[in-house]
Amino acid sequence: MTQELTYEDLAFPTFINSHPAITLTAYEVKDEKVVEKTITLPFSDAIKAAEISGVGQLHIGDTRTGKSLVMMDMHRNHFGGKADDGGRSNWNVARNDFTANGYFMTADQSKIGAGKGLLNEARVPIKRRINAVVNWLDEINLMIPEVQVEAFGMAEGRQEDIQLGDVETGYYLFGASCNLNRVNGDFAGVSPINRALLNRCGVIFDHDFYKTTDEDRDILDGREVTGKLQLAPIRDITDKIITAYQEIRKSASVRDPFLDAYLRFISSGLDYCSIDKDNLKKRTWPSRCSGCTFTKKDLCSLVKQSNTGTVATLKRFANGLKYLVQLKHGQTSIDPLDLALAAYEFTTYHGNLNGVEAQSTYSGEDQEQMRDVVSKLRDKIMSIRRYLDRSIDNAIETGIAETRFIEISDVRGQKVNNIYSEADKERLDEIIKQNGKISYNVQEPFKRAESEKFAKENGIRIDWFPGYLNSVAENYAKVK
Amino acid sequence: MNHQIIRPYIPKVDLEAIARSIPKTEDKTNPSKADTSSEQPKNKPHLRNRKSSPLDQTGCILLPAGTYGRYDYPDLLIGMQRLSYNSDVQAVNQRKGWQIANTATAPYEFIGNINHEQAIQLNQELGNATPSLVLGREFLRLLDSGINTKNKVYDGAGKTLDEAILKQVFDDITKVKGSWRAEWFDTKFSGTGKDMKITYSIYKGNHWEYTTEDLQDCLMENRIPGIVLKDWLKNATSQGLPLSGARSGNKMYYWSPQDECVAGFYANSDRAGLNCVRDPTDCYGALGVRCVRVSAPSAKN
Repeated sequence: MTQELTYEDLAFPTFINSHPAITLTAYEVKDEKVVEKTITLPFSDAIKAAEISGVGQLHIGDTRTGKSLVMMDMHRNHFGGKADDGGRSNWNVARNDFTANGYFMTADQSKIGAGKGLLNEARVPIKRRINAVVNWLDEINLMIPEVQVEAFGMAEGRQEDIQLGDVETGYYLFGASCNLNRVNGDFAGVSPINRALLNRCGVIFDHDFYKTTDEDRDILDGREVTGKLQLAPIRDITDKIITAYQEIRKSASVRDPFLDAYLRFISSGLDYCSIDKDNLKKRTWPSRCSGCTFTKKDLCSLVKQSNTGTVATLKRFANGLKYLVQLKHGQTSIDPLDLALAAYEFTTYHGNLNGVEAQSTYSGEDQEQMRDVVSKLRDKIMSIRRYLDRSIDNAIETGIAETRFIEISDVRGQKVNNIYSEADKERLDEIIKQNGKISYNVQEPFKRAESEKFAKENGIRIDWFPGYLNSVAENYAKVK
Repeated sequence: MNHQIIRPYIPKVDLEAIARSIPKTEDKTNPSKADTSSEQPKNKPHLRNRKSSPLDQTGCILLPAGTYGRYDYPDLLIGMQRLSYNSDVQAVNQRKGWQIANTATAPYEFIGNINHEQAIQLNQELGNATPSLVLGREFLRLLDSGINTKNKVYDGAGKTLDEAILKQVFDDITKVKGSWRAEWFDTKFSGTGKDMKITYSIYKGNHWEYTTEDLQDCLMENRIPGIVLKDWLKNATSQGLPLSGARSGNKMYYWSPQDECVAGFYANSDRAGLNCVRDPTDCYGALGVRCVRVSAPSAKN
């Protein structure tokens, strides 16, 4: 029987990076009282979350920042080292002579010879490599873009039509590293990364942005200096990781109405262009942004929407983050908006950022631009969050897609919103009749005109929300 | 780690709290007015809100005479709902100078903002007792048997209760759904380790009294989550606590007994559970109490 994964199991023997990378709001109900707390996860935890989620990861950064080190830690200490030597992982250093066929396929000698048919029929997969649950590809940008195509299948978890990884559970991890120094371009032989390959890496870890901290360096100073890549001891916790992955995949495969809604902001919400005829971002984006006179273009000009595949991957990564937090801090409830945006922040290099802005405003610091995007997106979502949360909660509880709200001004003039109900309205009328010191009004923030107004004031769309809410309500009405 | 919806914390809007925050004038402070405002919302399926005596026979469920835990009890009537404001409570307020009112609004209006001592005293003033953990559990077992094994369960007037009513009562206490609902049990814990004692109310002779006993071997670790509600209903110590080897589950949170703490049950949209570490001075809007009273002979089936 497989033992349960613990947070300690996921320790990296040699890689250290405690740079705060993710901040999540958690709340616990203790002795029937709600206690909110902030949980900060270091950069290394983000990598662990991707690992247990089976989300492909690309490590980028300057030379000697720990990219290969962290991959090697996982390769040897989590997945037991090379499949050829009995482990569950494959390690390749990217070179221009790399071919996927050459790596995963071989010839069955018993089928070669006169009268034994076509040579092609002797081709067979190397099972131990096919069945390895991880493929690491170090220094991927030492392949020219034409050869990078050879890694597409590996990144997607397939060798032609043969599934890679653990077929039974679906667990498969692809990890790659590359030097990305776009501004200086000082690495000899370095090629640009094919954008399709970038998109196949669910999350991208920028070791330049999330630098090791001074405290990390204090620890590193105490270690023996070898000048070489340190090799972690061989250990295999693959089965534990796969067990965790199954939980995560299961969670990410079902409706999660709050998390799904916030992720929809990344796909549908950001798909807004003020000057397009249909108000959608099309192929011309962002070429017309510089000449656009839309006064609220601070967000829509910075980033375009993510595609559906990316959002599905982000949902799994978000669930992986939640799983990791619970391994580390025990059972706790985590704010779904924080989870969605934390996951989104690691898609910086998917090619969705406005590259002109990246150079002109952010001096090539893509991750700074991404941080700005996330911050602005959060502000805009927060301005309507009180409506989103209550209507989704109501749809789950009652199976009704109610988009009207009652805004109550209490005696101190403070306003609170609640989902609309006839009963509450009658009760408020009664309270007002008796005391007259409060007031209320009924609001419909998702009406077509209001949605259009919101888009014009914020540069993001919310007109998808009523349809989304209907689907949530219908689903939960059926469940009931 | 079974999947649960990743939920944000959504503070509840309490219209009654808003109403109470309005500066009062003489007429509007009359609790009888508050009573008239306790009508059920019209479009929500709720338990009936009774405003007459809290032990209106049809508002109670008959727990038949039997041995529950270590003690014998006569036929008992237990409230279908936690106590709510009515003319009897109004009379207690006037007599004692208290300001007890309905503070919880869902799934029906009931009295909250009472600490453990106030809860026990309120029931005493009304001529009731407060269910102990033993009786609280037996009440759930009775409801469960009516729902799942089709045992006949009667109200205080001797009428067989529909399964739907039983399920409403059961869900009101245990279901992970909706707003906070919590209630006190008349069961206290004291001491630590092997010297831990449990004090709870029993019916002896013709009156209610307290018994203090050594705490039997029971589950002494928190399960967050949880234990299996059905298991607890099926097997428990004679003092009503989960067995020491209780199976883990995710349906019912459990906080094990601690010195100077009181037992209670609660449920909300996130979790439900048996809390044996409740501070007796706790006091909030959705923390109320249920009543129990020995059935008059005429109430017997």
